Amino acid sequence: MKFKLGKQWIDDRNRVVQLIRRLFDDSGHSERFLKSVAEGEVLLKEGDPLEDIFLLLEGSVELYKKKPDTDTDFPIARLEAGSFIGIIAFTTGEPSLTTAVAAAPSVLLKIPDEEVRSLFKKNKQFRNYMDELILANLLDRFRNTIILQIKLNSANNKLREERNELQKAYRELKEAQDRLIYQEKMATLGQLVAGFAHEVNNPTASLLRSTETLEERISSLMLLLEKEPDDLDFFISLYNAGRKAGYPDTATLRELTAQLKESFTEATPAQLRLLAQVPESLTARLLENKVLKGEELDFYLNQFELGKMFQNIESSGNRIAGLVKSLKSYSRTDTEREWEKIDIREGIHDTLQLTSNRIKYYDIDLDLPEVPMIRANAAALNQVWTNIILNAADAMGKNGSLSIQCNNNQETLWVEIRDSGPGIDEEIIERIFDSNFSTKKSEVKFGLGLGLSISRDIIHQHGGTISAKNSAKGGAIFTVTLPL
Amino acid sequence: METKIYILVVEDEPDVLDSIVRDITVFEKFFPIEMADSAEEARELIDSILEKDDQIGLILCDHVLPGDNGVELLVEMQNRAETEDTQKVLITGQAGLQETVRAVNEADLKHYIAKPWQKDELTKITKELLTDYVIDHVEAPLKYMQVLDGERIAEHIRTGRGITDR
Repeated sequence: MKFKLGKQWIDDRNRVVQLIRRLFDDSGHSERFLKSVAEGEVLLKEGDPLEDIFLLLEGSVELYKKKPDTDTDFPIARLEAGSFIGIIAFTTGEPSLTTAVAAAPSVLLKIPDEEVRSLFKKNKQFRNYMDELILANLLDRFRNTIILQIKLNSANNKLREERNELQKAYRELKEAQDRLIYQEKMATLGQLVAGFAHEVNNPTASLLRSTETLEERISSLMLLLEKEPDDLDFFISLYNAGRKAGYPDTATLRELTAQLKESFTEATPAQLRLLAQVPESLTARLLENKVLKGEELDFYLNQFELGKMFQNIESSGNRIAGLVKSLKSYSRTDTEREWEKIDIREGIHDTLQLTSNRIKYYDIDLDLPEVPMIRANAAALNQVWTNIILNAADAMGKNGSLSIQCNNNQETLWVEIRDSGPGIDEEIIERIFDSNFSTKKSEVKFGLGLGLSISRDIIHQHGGTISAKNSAKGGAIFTVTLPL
Repeated sequence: METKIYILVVEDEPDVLDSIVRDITVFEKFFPIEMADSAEEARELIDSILEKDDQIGLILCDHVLPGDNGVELLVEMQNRAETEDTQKVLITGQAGLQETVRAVNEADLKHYIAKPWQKDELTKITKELLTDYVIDHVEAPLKYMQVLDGERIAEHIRTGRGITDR
């Protein structure tokens, strides 16, 4: 590094030293001060009071400094011709700061301290030269300090960069590990789900089949009842009505019960509740036959309830079977290959079915026209829909609306999921697909704050994109595109 | 007219509601049953029962409901003087730990019944809790002995607390 500082002489200290030497030569003193030293000779010792100063004419001198608390000296600077040795001690009057050792055979002017000071007073020219020399030497030292500082800075920067890279590598490793744990968790869960679905399927099938047989048997038993044929017919009608009856909501039920109490004044509340579910034509017949209370009424109502219970068992059984089917198709444990041609809408339906306990009370608006089948990992895509839908549920709480649309053009298919929640903070919207970014602080249930980042990975594996934005009308919109 | 003590059942799935009510019909001779499928409807029923100067002795409440959830309803009842003493029971498959803790701490939850329940369990708990309620709130509990814990009621009458306390 070359500094352009002031006049020529500052860079050419050697010339100044030669000028000083000539000054001594002219006055005939030079012989007295001129001194040749061999390599290794000590000129000054650290801590000694300064007796002489040295002006280096030829050769070089190394300055050493003692390391604190040890005896080791380490080199701190190498001085070349033109240097003033002992400059700090000379200017401050303190003992020598360093040990000066000839690093090569050298020629110096060795001038006793007192002599210098008296010359200083007497000889103006000497003083000028010495001032210049001191200034030049100090500048040189100063320049060295700056160079050192710059070197130090660049070393620091390099270290900082290396540290940042290490930190980054560590973060990436940690993320990779979290991902592995998450995937492992999902895989285990998938196996559990498959096992569970299988185990539940058998008893459910058995339940439904037994119910069917039981119903047949009971029907044939009913025919054996000792009743008038006409009454038997009524009996069977009651049973069949129960088989098809729906449940009125509680308010309607209350209203109907109150109305029926006017005709069936002595019936119990339980009987009235059943009557409220019996079709009007059949209650009319009960009234006609004066079947109004007690065991006799129970006898008829039991038929209705029998039908109702069968209906209950059947619909509950079918509900379980449906859920199991969704579970199996959601986790894709019934297929061998991960990647296959799929209709993405099936996965969306499965997901809605399986998250129904979270989205039960939402207004759900589905606009899913037919789209081309794509080659995809169905189970993985289901994970994406689930993440987006459950995030929406977290954001909305109990009430809200969820709208899911899909469509396609020549090259791509897209799915858009909107919610009516508070939307995503503009400050974080850029980061929501990053690893370990989660808004759920204490209540991280299953995930590790990886839901959306894994979703992004999955969509990228499919060659698609996933993005989030806020709707002008409020709420968040997630858009997934997949290539055809 | 004599004060009536109601049982309130809150459940949003009609078939489940029907099953619960069917299981506790035996108490209906003395404790009329009212049904609601949301917390909001339950509130209206509570108001209309209290208007007639009747009481609610027991509430069997699901947690996951449309609108306010079951725990919110129970806490609200606990904070209302007329329903503070109502025996409160959750019947649910889905209340998380936090919500259940809240029900215990803030609504003095008497029992937690996990779905699917057993009929015996449900009737046993209903009987016990209604017995507690009747002993604390009814001057002449004799007539309830038939469907409740007769021994405890008899003991209560014998030791005279039933007569002198109020």
